[in-house]
Amino acid sequence: MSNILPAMLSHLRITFLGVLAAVILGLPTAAFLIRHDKLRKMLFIIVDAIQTVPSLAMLTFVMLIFGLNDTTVIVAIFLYSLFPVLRNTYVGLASVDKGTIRAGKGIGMTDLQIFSMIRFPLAAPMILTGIRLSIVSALGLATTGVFIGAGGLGMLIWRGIQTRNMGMMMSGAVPVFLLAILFEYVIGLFEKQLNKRQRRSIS
Amino acid sequence: MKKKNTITLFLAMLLLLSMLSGCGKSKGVTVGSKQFTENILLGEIYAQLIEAKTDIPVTRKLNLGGTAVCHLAAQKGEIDMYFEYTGTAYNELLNHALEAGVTKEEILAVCQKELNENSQMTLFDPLGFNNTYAVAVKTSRLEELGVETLSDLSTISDQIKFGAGHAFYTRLHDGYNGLVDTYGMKFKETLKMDTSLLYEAAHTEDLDAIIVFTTDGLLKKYDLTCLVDDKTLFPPYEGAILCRNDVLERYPELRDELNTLAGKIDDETMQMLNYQVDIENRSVEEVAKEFLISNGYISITDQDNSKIYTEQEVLDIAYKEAGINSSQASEIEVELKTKDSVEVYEIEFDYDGYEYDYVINAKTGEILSKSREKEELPTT
Repeated sequence: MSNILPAMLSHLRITFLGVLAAVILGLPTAAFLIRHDKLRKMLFIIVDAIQTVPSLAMLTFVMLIFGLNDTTVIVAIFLYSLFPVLRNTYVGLASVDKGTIRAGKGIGMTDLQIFSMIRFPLAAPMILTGIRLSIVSALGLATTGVFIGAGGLGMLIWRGIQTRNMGMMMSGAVPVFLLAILFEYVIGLFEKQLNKRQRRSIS
Repeated sequence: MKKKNTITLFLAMLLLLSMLSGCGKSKGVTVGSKQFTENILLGEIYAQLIEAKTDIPVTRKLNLGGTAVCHLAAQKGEIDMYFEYTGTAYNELLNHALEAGVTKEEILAVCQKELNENSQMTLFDPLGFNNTYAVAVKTSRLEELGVETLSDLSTISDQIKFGAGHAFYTRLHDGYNGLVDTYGMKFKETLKMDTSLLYEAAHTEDLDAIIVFTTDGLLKKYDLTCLVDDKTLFPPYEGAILCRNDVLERYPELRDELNTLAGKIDDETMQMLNYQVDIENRSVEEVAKEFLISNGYISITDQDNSKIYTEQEVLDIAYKEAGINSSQASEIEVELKTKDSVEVYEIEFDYDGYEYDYVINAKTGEILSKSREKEELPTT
């Protein structure tokens, strides 16, 4: 019992740093891509390709650069999270109603204002969906971090499976499961809230 | 120009992340292992051995992914040594095909030579066990079936229900096809199932013969015996520690320690050790330590020379030897003395009309002498 909490905290740390890095890099990149179609197509091919790399192969490859530690898993999560974050943010930003944007221009908004007051707020629920997907899948991915010597709940799960020790396995699997449901639910609530507000402000 | 910015940003992110972990090579040696019990256990055994016998600080990176992760990590200097198997090294690291007819000595020689040349690593001499595939039969049924070798089994194979894990059927020469080609097996039934279910099925006699790994602790649990592979179909997977050469140059004293266990762990011992972790659910650290101490590779005091046994601890040793418990002894006397510059405990107690005397080494807990005499009755 005593080692579950530290393992859980390290699991959360790995998950969040990885997704956070993807968000920090992904949001501005997606905004930039709205006006750069060629670059967008190219970048999306790369991001799609990353998504198809099996996790152990990815970890082994990243390990060669970052070594046997949490950083490798964080970088792997970052790379895998680019797909949902970048794609959702781009689609969210690009699918904002043209009429609304023209209206903004009509009342003399600058490009920056249009982005921060129209595009971004309207795309926010979509962006949040991308982040939610990243976090939930990253929680799962972080369990494989044990194979390159990283911390987290993976150790309990894999050692439990190997030694057919159900208790040990569950002590790792159940927290991952609960965390995934928790984030799914909490971020889902935010999304709903945002959607509601948008509908209100439109009507 | 703008694309360049994105790339720079990307690199900056990676740099930032790499700093977060605060890496930086520490001194000493790092022992790695693959992600299964036997390999973890052997990694721990070597780690404890080095800690006890040298002053080199040891870091553990046990439970890493498969061979690829361990070997790449060793090449990159993330780990300095891990436990490898000759068949695996021959096939996966050195890209030689495991063909039938190559002896284990040849494979070992090729591995030692080429790992040294290609990877600058030393493969030490094997420990003695061979963790390879085997066909196992329930021990109690050996006589009934009249089998000892795979050739024996082939004569009655049309009455045998056979089971193996999925991977066994996909191996080119040394899997199921090999069994059929080399031994001419024609099983009555052939099943594919998960390894963990196989043992249970052999135990309940739903299957007559199954494919196992020779050092698996489950063999002991389910009381199965491996049949002799008399035509050497299965390639050798002899286990040996693999260490990078530069580490051996930096710490020359390591070489002796890494050689200590060569030839000392056979299939049965390895099975027993795996059994203690997998089935008895004991910790890897504890099993490793017990193995090293009970075989005299390390003594308890190796780790801390100033530490000696307490009076209670030596009394327990003496009671255990005498086969009594602490409440049964009376007239107990314990004295710490120095004899021939060795610190010893002299212990006396009475039980059931006898006087027991023990001399126990205070540092190792070893019983140096003992006696049991009829108590002198007070004369009237």
